[in-house]
Amino acid sequence: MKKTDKNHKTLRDAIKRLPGHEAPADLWNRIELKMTESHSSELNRPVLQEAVSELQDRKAPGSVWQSIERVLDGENRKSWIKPAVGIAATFLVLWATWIALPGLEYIPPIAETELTVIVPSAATLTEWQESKEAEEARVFACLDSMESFPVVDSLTTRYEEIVLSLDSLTFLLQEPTPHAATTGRFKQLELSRKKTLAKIEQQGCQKLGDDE
Amino acid sequence: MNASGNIRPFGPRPEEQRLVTLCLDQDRLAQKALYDRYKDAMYTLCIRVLSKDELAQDALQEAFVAIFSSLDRFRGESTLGAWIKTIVVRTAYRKLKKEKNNTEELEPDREGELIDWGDYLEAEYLEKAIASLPAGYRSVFVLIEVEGYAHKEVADMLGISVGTSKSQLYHAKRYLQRILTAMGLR
Repeated sequence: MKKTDKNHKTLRDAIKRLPGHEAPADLWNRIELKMTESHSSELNRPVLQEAVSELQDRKAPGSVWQSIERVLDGENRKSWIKPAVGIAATFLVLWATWIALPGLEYIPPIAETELTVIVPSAATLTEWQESKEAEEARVFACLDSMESFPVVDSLTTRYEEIVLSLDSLTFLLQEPTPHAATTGRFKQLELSRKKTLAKIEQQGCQKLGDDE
Repeated sequence: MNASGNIRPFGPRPEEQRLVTLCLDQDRLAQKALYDRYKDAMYTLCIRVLSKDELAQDALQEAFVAIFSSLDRFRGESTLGAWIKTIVVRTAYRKLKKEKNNTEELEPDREGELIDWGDYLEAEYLEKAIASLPAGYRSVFVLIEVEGYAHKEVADMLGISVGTSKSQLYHAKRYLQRILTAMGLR
C-alpha cells in the first residue's frame, strides 16, 4: 500500500489523548420516552413472536370466499342501499317542497280530519291514481266555464306542486317495505292535496254561484 | 480485535449476557445500565462524526432506541460493544447525510507528497481541526483513525466503496494538515 503519512505515530498519539465527552444527563429520559411512544416496551416478546409464527401457518376457511362472493353479487349491498336511497329521496322531496318551490304555505302536521287519507301500496297505486283523477275531474269541471280568479289560480298552482311531490313519493312507495318517513310524508301531502282541492271547489263554485 | 487493540472472544461477556437477557425482557433498569455502560463512548463518537451537540444527542437517542428494539437480533457474532457501535455509527452517518454537508473540493495535491504530522500534535487542537473537517471527510477519518475500523468495515457501514473510503481518508488528512498549518501548529 502506498504510504501517505510521515510520522504517523504523532497522529496516533494525539488521537489517544483526544478528550471524551459525557452524554447529557437528560438523554436517557428522552430515550425512555421514545421507547414508550414507539410501543417497543413489550413483555415476553419471544412469546408473541412464537404465536405469530403459528398464525402464519393457518389458511382461511373456504366459507370466507362464499361470504365475499355474496357481497360481490350485491345481495349485501342492497340491504343497506334501499333505506339509504329512500332517506335520500325523502330529503330531496322535502327540500323541493319546502325550499325550491316558493309560495307554499306551511302544511301543519297530520291532524284528525273527516278527509280519508290512504297510503297506497304498490298493488293499490293504480286505484289511488284513478280516484285522485276522479276527484280532480269533479273540481275542475266546476272551473272550466269560469274566468280565472287570483285566489283560485294560486290554489291551483299549489295543488299542482303538491301533486308533483306526491308523484315522486309514489315511486318510493313501490318498494316492498317503504321507509316510514316516505309513508308519513305521503299522508301529509295527500291530506294537503284533498284540502286544497276542497278549497278550490268551494271558492270556485261559490264564485260561480255568486255570479249566478 | 477491538478499537483499543484488545483481543476478546466474540459474543458478550457473561455479565453482559445477563444484562442483554434482562433488556430483552424490557427490564428498564437493565436497559438503563446498558445505556450507561456505553453512552459516553458512543456520544463521543457521535460528536466527532456530527460535530454538533444537538445532532449528536439526537443520533445517540435514535441509536439506542434502535438498539433496544433490535436487541433480539444480536447473534453474538461480534462483541456487544462492537454491535452497538455499528448501529450508532450508521445512525450518526444517516444524520450526517441528512444535514447535506457537501464534501469540499480540495485543490489537487502535488503527487507523491507525504502528509507530515511532525513530532508532536496537541490533542485539543486536533479535536478542533477534526470538527472543522467537511462532513464526509470527518466521518471516514473518525471511523478509520480514531475508532480503528478497517476500510472494508467503513465501506459496509456507510454504504460506500473501499476506494471511496481510502480517498476520503486521504483528503481528510490533507485537509487536517492545512487546518493545523493555518492554526500555526504545523
